[in-house]
Amino acid sequence: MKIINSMIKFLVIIAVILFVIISDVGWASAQDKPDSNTISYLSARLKQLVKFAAPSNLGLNYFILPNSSDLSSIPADPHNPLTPEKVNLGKLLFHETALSINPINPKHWQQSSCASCHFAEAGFRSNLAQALGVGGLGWNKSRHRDAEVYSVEIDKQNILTPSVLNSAYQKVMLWNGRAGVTGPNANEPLIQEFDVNRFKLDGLETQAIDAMTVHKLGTAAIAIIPEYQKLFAQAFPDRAYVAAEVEDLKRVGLAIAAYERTLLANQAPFQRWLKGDETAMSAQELRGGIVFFSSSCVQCHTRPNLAITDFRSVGFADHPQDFSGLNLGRGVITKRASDDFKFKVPQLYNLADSSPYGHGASFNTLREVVEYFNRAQPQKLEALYAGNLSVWFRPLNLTQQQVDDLTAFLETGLRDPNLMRYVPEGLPSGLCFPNNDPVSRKQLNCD
Amino acid sequence: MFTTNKKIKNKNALLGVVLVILWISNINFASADISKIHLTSSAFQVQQVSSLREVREPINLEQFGLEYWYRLTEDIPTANQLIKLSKRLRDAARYLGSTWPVILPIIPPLNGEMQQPNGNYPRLTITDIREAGGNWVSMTAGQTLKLVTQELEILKKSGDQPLVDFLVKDEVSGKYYSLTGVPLNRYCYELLNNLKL
Repeated sequence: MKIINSMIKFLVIIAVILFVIISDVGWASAQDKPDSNTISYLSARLKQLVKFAAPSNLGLNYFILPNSSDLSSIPADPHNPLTPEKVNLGKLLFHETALSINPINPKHWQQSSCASCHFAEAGFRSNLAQALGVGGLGWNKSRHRDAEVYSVEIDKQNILTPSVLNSAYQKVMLWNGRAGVTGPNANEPLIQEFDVNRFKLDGLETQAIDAMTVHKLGTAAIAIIPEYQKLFAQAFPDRAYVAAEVEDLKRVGLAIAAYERTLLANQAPFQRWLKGDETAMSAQELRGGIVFFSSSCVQCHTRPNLAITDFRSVGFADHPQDFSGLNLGRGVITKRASDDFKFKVPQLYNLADSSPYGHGASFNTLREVVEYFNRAQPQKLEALYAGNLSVWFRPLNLTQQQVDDLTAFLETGLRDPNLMRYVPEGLPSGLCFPNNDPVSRKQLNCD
Repeated sequence: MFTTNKKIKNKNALLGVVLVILWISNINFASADISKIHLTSSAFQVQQVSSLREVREPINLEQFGLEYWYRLTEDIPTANQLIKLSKRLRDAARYLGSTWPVILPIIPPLNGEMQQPNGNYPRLTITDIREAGGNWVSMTAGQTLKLVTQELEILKKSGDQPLVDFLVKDEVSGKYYSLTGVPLNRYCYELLNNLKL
């Protein structure tokens, strides 16, 4: 008898719950249904999804990039505290062609800078399938190899130049993440002992210091410029001068890394929308944002820079100039088969400023990238058979409209239109920048 | 203070020694895995100069009793074997570099050993492959993995066997000859046999 009573009670409770749910649905459907294409409706829908993608109760704030002058809010390496003086010095050094004093061929003396391959107009990428530092001629898309010198005299990489935009949110640098001792490298004793990591710093600082040697840069020429002496004294009071010494290569790297940390795409329409400007994005960009945050994209492209700090295999092809025919990515660094074909997840802002895409430069347009992920058929079958493809690399099953919308979100919704605010007006050396070769000088009206 | 520094130095030195041992042991492990592949460092240099290398007339393996190289193997490598092979090649690439040369000797079928060099028999090794564009490319761990992956795809789709052109080196005379029309699964089979996988 007791059991029957309990069952009746249970059924009554279920009936009440069902009634409440049904009546709620009825109430909701009785309301004026908002036009699903209005800015306010789309904005509200996107807000829901963005909040859901943020951890705990951080809400929209989780994805907001700080103001570039708010140095205390920008992630930094404790061994390289950010100061306005250091950032200012780094801004000049990043573009300074007078640093390029050790080219293999003397004719390339003082012709390139960090910004030759990472310039603002290209979203701090190179706009080339194969970026050219020392030994390149011309600016932007027109940059080409100096045909009068041997190939070995040209500074080039067999992998696409990654962006330094929003790099403050990356703990390790380079596609395989070998630079840096924190983040995903914190528990990698082998990587900790790499020569590049001898200073035990974050990836950004590590790479900036290493780049001084790798890209044939030096401080001898700037050491005789009084303005740099003053700027170094302000940025590094403990060693208030710059000389042609190894120690100062490190300081140049630290200043450049400090500047790079302030390169934030915080004026992109999506950022303005996150901060409350509901009209910052068009209806199509909002729809694209909805597709992005409701699909598996956000599983790897999350955090303020829209990139996790880990490595993933998504089957992109290798760079056509990689004649080995095989880039194992992270696997080569960790020596683990389970890391083969995994590469760093890139940030997603200002991608429209530069092409191609993918570590192997295997996509010409962003739309191609979106369609690739929609199909989820790996370009590099070796990655498929290695069994390391990301579990999120599955067909998105998007309609053509959704592909269009997602592409719009990536191309314009995430594009900060004003990256030129990060470029200096001139350099203490007075040289042309970001390139100082004869062809670039003409193109940049430096002559 | 001095003692503390000394301790730290000793600790660092010890750590360094341990890392070196680990590194060496890793390399030994990897080398042991791939020791069956005839590996030389000279092929990397060959890749750099392959366009300058003089390639002799196509070699005919029939005259050396090696005509079976032109036929499809009866023991077609299985997907599992090919996966094992690709793992082994990735191990080699990971530890030794993806440009590490994978040079496969052409072994007579009867005694299963390399032919001793004499006046009648060359000592042949496969060093390069002809790309779609017609260029010779060194058989690196990366290039070989591409071939194995291609064979895996063919198995999956039951497709036709492509015929591959190789460059072979007569290790005795140092001369290079083209070897045309080898079925891909024959190459994979020989590589598997060579590695005893």
